[in-house]
Amino acid sequence: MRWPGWRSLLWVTAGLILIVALRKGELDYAGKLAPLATPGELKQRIVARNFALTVDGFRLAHAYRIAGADAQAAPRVLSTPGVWVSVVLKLEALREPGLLNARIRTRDGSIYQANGDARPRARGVNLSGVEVAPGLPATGAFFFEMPPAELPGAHLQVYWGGLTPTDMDSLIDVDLGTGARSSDALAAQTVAEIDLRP
Amino acid sequence: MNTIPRANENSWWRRQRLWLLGALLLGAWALLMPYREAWQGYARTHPMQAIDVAAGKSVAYEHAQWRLLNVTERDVPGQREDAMVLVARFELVMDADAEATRLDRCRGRISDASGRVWSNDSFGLLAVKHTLPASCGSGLGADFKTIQAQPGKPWLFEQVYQVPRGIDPKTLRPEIFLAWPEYEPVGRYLRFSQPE
Repeated sequence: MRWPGWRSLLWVTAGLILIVALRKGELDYAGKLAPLATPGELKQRIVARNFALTVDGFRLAHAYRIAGADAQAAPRVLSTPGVWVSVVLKLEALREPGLLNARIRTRDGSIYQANGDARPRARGVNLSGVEVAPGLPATGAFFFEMPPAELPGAHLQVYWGGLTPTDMDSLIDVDLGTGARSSDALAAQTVAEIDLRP
Repeated sequence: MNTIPRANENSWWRRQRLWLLGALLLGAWALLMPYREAWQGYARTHPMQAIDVAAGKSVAYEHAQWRLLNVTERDVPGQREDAMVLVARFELVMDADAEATRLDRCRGRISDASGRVWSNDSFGLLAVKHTLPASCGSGLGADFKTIQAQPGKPWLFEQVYQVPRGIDPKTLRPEIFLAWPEYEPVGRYLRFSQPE
């Protein structure tokens, strides 16, 4: 049997190195599915592929006062075991209509999903489940319930669709500016109650 | 007579050329086929290639002839101030082999020249009072009985869109597509120009 020449061995070695390098550089499953992230700051219009947003700020509260189930019903107070975070923002679709969802990502990577449109039920304010269309922006707030100790370093993440593999798209990550503030300072900023009635 | 072989005649590349060509073709196929499959999967739910329909003309699509009749602005109380409601009316004539229930899967939208689109209000959120059925294949007739499009007979239906004020409605183009797994041709949709 004739042994392969040094040139063949060189090609095989180069091929193996290439295979290993490509495999190592390959994104993991979560990375392959990750949305296209665009970072941004408060008060800044941030533009992603198909939507834009401007975060005016956020408010912290222990409870919300909301309207009753009908016009005659007495107002209700909606409390939470943690703290209510309402992030006030303007959403714009740039190309097509769609739903935007939001979550808060904390410093340790925990995720707090925005509440649905029933908690708090505040029509015209709660942006959860509100469709935005080009040229017809929506203003309001996303509402979160989370432990107050998780607030320092939190980021708001707003994304198109449901972050599932079939409708993965763009995501805007906004630093809420709480990184340099202590839990005590944020607790002092937390009001007892916000009235969400129209 | 002795001939002097050229230097590269016995080179490795020349000897392996068929294998190399095969590997190249196989590699290209391995890249293209998944791409094609993914594209077709995406196109089944996302219309990608427009079939432009001239103003007043009808066109064959999904076993039926489709025509845009007009687009009018509708005054709807309680709308947001920066928006207007447009209603597009279509005429459809089913072929003999078409099914009205299948055409009911149609989806609609309206687009501007820059490619921005607004969806048909298929869930009735705009509370527009319809004067024609809102679906491509069936609707409610007198006594709230379901009526269906019949082959060879014109079927009129309308779609409703909410668009920003400030756009000239005449420049917008209503679109129709059937985004379901078995629709053909995959990824094609109708884009109508408006009659003058």
